[in-house]
Amino acid sequence: MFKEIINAFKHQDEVKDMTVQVGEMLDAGHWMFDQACAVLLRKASWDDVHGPLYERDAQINAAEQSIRERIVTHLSVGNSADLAPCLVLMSVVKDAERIGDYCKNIFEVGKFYQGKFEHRSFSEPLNDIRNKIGGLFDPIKNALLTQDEPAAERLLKENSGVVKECDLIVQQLLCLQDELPAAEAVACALLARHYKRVEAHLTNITLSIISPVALLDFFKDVK
Amino acid sequence: MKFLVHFLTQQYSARASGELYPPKDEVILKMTSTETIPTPQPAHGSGQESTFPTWARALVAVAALYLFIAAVKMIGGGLKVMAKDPAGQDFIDWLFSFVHDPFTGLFVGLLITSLVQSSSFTTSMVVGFVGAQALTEGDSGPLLSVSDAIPIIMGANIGTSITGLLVSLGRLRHRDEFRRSLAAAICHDFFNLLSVLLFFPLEVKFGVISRPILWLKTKLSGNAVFAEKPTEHIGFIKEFLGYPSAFMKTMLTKWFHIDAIPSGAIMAILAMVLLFVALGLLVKMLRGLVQGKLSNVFSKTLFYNGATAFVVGILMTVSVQSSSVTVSLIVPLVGAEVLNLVQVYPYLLGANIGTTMTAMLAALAIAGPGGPPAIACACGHLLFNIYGTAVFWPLKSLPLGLAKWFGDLAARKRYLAILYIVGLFFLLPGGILGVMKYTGHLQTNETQTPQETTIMNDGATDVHTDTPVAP
Repeated sequence: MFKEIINAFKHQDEVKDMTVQVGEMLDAGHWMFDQACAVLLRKASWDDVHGPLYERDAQINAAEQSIRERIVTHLSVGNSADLAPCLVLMSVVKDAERIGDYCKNIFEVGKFYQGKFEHRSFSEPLNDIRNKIGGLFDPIKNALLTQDEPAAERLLKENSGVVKECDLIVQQLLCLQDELPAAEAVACALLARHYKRVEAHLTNITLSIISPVALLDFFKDVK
Repeated sequence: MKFLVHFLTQQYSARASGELYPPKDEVILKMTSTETIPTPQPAHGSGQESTFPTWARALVAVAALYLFIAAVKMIGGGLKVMAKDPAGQDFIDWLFSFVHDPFTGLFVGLLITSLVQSSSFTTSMVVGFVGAQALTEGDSGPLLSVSDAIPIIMGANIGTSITGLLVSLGRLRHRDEFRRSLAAAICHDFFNLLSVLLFFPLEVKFGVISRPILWLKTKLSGNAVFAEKPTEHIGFIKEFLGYPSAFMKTMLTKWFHIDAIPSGAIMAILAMVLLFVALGLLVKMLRGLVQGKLSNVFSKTLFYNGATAFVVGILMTVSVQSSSVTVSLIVPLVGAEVLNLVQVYPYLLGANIGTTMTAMLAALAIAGPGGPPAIACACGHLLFNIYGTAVFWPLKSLPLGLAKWFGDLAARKRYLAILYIVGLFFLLPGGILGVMKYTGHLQTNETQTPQETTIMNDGATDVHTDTPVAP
């Protein structure tokens, strides 16, 4: 009992601690993304991955609830100077939680579509997008923890094309509807959408480092 | 009203058409648009707010503590100056005639604390009066006896809960949040009321608080630390803490040649103002020192266990030297359902115990013959709260049940909360004091209640002079 009280009184920076917790959510999301893609690429069995994946998603949801509660407590006891960072955290935890949800969706595509991705015109761009997104988690997490604005701007600039690529895949699928088996077409379309959503939420988290509260989730076109 | 309806209508139709909350896809499409968006303002949370350095806060807190203690000493000093004039002595006797009756003492404590929203102010002031021994040469009695101080302290305990209630009124517009917030605030109030309802008659009839503390006073009185001429070190501390009082006395009586009564009155009033300001500053600085830790302290982990919550209540209140602050912190947390009423109840009891430390600080600074009664008075405050905790922690269902009932009732009829605050904290004590004064039911030094006579005849101490009485 006294150890808990002493630790509580030693505690320094609540906002920093909550940001670290968001970083942990991103780590969990990264793990889920890798596992879901492994199932998709038949590198792992969906049976083995199912339990741990959903468990990790539950942990992400619990972390979101915990952060929200901490934000309410933090602001209720008079830390009004932290209002803006807390509002940002409220938005960012939502994005981190949704990444987990879309990773589950990717996993389900891998689970329900048992065929192969034979058309290279779709499988190669999807692979590229998957690799790009997989490589975003760690830099975004580091930029968030250190509030590195130049790194955030660079990440936004470098990855602004992913959304276009996902839209292009869907556009092409709609044009080539007779040349692709229906199941593969559906799987490719779903993957394109799910990857787009994951990337969009990662972009929103990156944006939170440089945007004021009112412009969260809105992106200035960087040329 | 028209504007409000128009605004709400606009919001509803905007929401329905998707203008306010565009779907995520529309947001994503904006990212690829060539349409430029105005350059964002500097990022949030970029450390624009400057913070008062910790060392500076600690320094100001120490200075405030010194002024607080000096003010307590100055109160007695001012009244001593007044008492040099026989008319001044008569005025003081008249002023304190309000509090020799335990009932009026109770309501005086309640009214003063409600007005200043600080039980620490009232109890410290009372300690100052109790510690001001022998206003004039040959006068064997204290300004305010320990036994007379106890009902005032009980009243102060009730009065301090007004701050939490006022904080809960901030949630008036949100029914459920208001219901919970009010229940938390009024739970503290009901605990104090129940403690007074139980222990006030016991104190008047049997001296359940004054007997043990008068025994303590007797034991302390023989100690060399409290001698009229103490040791060199104690004498130095006494002189150091008394500088402001001595300076004020010299300035008023010798430099400006002001007569005894106005000088003493000015000193006493300035002392009370200084006490209020110093205490407020002390609380503010101490709160700033612990501000960064508050969010982690008020966590479900620490409040899961009643004993932990109780200790947290004591530690937090000792840290900031104000139960009003620590109780009002918990009110919005219960309103927001971060914590519930059952979890915070032990914390409220701990806060009541922790707040007794302020009076203890003031008492420990009073050296000389006034020290033992001042310490006894502060211990009386502590003892009263220990008694209340000992009874109403096991019987927590009573204050909790009452708090929930009143919270539900006031959530439906919100004017009741305001009526309760105005009625209990201002109209009731003010009305009763007025009626008792003008119907001549107030006591002076010369009259005693039958209960006091009984206590005297039991071979205890004269409750007005605190001196031993032969049976």
